[in-house]
Amino acid sequence: MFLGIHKLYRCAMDRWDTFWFSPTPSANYTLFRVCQGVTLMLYLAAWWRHAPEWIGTDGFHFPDEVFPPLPSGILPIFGIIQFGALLLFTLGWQTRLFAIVSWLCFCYVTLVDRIAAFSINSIFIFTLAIFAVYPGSGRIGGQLAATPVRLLQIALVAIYFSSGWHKAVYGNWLDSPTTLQNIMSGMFMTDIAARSLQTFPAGVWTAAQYVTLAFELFSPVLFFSRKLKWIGIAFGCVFHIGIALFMHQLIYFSLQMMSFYVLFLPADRQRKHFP
Amino acid sequence: MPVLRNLPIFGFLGLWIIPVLFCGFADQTFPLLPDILARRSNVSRLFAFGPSKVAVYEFQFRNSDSENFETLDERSFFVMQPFGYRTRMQRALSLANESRRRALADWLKGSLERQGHGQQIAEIRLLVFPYDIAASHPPDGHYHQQKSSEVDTTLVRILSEYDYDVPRNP
Repeated sequence: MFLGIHKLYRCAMDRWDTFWFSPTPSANYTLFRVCQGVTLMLYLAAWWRHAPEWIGTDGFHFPDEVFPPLPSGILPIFGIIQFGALLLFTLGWQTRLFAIVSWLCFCYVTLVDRIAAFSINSIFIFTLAIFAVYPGSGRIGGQLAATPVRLLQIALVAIYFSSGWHKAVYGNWLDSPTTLQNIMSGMFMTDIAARSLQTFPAGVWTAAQYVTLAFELFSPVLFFSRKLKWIGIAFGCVFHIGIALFMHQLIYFSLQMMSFYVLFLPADRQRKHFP
Repeated sequence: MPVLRNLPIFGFLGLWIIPVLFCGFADQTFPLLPDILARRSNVSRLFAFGPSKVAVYEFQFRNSDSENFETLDERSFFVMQPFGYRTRMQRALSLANESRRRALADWLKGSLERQGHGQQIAEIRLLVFPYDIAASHPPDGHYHQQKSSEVDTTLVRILSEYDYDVPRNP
């Protein structure tokens, strides 16, 4: 019996090691870094246009924020450090060092103003931390242990699945046929969303609501099945392009989430395009 | 199982991925983490509801030499719109408890007095009213924030009042 348990343990450990540590081409991970870096720079560029109000002493901040805002004189210096580190991280130069600097700067802007910080911030804090621990080779060629790719893949599916679960169980996505329509008609509604709401009948939005919920709830199957992966990626792209078009400024969230999809692509495709 | 190479895996799973799952399954932040970390995993509770009404906030203030309240033009102090067509002030008030509302009112008082070249603010009040999504259908363009003067007065209520006890000017 002891031998049986020991064998089972060895088998489980071998599977664990294969899942987390088997070598994998670094192409997808490198491309993911570039996508995340570019998206984060675009997102920060939009927020930095209002830096004195956002992270400077000119704006209102809750008295119980973790960090104090920056005086106007310090803002340009901080901006140079933040964007400089992010650019070098994106280019793959001293990836670990600049992932750490970018992570520190981004933690600061997230914790100095919770008013302008959203889920996108938490996800960037997670991905930058992954690169700080697992910097990768910094280029498309070569191989790396699968650990960071697996963590990021699991994170994406965890976000989708738990969001879907929460919408179905605690929200009113199953109870009310107008939930998606109401979300789209609120403060996020773009001109395109308004025109689409005028054009398409309510039934279209109800169908979109249930399909979206199904996508989130079935995401573990869609993304971890070899056969269904392409359906998951295609549907996810449609889902996030819709969010970007219909919800004001959520384009950064869409780009962030879609960049996770490169981690599910066959690595030889990237190598062909980025030798 | 070498501990060192597995440590970051357990770290990322325990500090972020499992709390994200917990948040979605239990509808609350992960209780085993300090608040600053637990809040970072609150990414699975977005857009759970499609409310038919959105709360809109409006500040009004009264100068010490006046009997009447004026409506604050929030765009003169809050230009940034962090996600959606709403200012940081609207977003701040959606997150605020009474002490944070008080802090915002105090900050506005100081800002208005600096802008008003010495004129003192005697009173500030915060109004709230609903933006009815169904009533605005079909929408004729992107979301526009309404003013309290544009809605039925019975729908507008005073959420907080702050009296700064400034002696009235003769």
